[in-house]
Amino acid sequence: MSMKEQNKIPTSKVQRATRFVRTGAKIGGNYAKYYAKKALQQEVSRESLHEDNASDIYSELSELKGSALKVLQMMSMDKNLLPTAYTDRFAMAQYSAPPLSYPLVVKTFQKYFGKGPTELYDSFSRSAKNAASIGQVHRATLDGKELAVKIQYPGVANSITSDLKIVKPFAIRLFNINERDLEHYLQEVEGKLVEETEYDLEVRRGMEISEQCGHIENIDFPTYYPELSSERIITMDWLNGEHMKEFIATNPSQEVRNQIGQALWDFYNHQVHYIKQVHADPHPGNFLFREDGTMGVIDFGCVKEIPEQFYEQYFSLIRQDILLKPEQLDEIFHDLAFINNNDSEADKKVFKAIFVEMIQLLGRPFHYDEFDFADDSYFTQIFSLSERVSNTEEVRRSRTARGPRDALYINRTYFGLYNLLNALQAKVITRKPTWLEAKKLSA
Amino acid sequence: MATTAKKGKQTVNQSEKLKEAYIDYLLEHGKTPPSVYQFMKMQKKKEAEFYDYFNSFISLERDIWKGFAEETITRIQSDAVYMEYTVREKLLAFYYTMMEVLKNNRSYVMLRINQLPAPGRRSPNTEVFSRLKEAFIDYANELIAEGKEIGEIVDRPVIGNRYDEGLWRQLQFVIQFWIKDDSQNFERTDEAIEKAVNLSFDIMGRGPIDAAVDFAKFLYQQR
Repeated sequence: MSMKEQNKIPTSKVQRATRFVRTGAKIGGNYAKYYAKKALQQEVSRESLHEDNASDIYSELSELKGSALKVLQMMSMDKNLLPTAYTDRFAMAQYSAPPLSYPLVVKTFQKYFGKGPTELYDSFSRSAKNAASIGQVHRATLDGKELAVKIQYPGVANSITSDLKIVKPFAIRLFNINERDLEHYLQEVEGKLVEETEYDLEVRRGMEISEQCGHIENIDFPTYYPELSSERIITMDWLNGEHMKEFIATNPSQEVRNQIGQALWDFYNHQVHYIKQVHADPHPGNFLFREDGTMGVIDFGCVKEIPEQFYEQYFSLIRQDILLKPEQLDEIFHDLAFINNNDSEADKKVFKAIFVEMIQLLGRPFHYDEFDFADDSYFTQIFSLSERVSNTEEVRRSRTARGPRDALYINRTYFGLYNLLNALQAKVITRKPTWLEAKKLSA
Repeated sequence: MATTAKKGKQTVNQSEKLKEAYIDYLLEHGKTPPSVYQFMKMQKKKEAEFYDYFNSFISLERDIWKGFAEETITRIQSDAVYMEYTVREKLLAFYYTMMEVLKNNRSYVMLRINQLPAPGRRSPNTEVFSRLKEAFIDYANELIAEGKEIGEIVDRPVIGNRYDEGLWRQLQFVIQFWIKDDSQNFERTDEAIEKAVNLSFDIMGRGPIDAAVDFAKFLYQQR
């Protein structure tokens, strides 16, 4: 991370706000252009206006990092169900903060432990080794153990709420969604973002999940040291391994890829279906891969607890046979707010058809005993479907948010998992609870 | 020897006690004591004893502020790592520690902070920050000299001699920011300190302007 790169990123709230204002002005300009052209009786489609808007907003936002970007990213995933061309551009929403100075690191330690880092550890690196999403990682040793010490940037927690306030009017326009519905999603997102800043919570969850997933083969977790952790500091074992991109560059064998892919699938399968608590941030930076076919999981900042009722309804949609029973399907769609009473019969029909198709497609790995995620054509199908959906007249016209808000992070988790498995080019046995297997559609 | 040492220690304790009593009075009554006589009477002491240490309330307050800087410097220097710090880090450590020191006296600081003269204004005779300023400027000059020596700070004509004044402004800014800061644990102040110090060292360090001047000089000499 070079300083120069960071200098380009607007950091202060004022700067962020002006950037949004600039975007707002541009959108205003686009509307002006649209109406001007319309006044001149030219044939201008709303389409071109949407395109103008989208590209302006996205080009502005791609320079913006922080929780605002994360929110838009999540929203765009949900409205189209899955992100399309934009996923690459926003692949990782990271808070932009220049590295913490060492005196501030010392001060943070003083605040929480009354001691400096050199007194707590046998050795402690003066400079940060890695940037975590909202903090930085130092390397330390204690009693012969290699440790990773994560320290949060000051003010991150404070900036979340103000960032979300800034983003609201833009999200409303960008996603053509009404304010009440947006609020409904934002609460979920804000809650999760705030949780991410509570390091003591992360330690607790990391310990819980790693204990309950300890039996899964080829995947390991760092030991956490609660006595050396606090609201803003986490001490855990230093895990070795490489990030996805570097790991793939080493050209691992298919066997190794499959083994790691399997570990990932089993890890998520166990969390979602048995613990009902899931590591909901499967972006590549949170995993470390090794050439012996094992992997490590770091960062339990974003964990989604899955409510029981939601779990049953949502996952019963994945069962291949449920799609065949219209009455049951209608009921679930209604409960999960995919359709609502304000929809006209015609709209209901369109939306139902869309959701059935989406679920069929997204649930596909669950319908087989084994699934090859190297199959790019599967991903192309997902993209083209979401492309088609977002261009459907009814979807564009609808100003209601559809789908339960609990689904926000579940969709994100599965989409992230599929992407990781695709990047690994892994073929995995798609284990699932027996009730999900249901009857085969082989007939 | 032993007696002088004891006496010295007592002097410090006595003047510290007077300072504490004075701050107490100020905070409880919202105004300075009416006279040294009354103040000392409340301490069950003779008025003359006061003048052993201070010649007026103003000079006592100036000493309080100077004490904040001195305590800060003692505390940062007691950390072994401090000697290994870059100049930038030393200044950061100073500000962070000073805010900790001031935290113990926040109410008093709030009461006095509006007396800081606006930039460019001459300070009135009654202002209480003059000795803090002296102590800080001394410290800042040590840092600047060290920075110039190792190249972290570039000496420039004219403004090269005004860096210390700039840093004094910065300290005022930090204190004022901290007083207005309502974030939890004063985290915003931590951010403000990081950013302010980064900016000042980017200005004092070698930058594009130096390169531009250097380049212009080179071109000029070619003619």
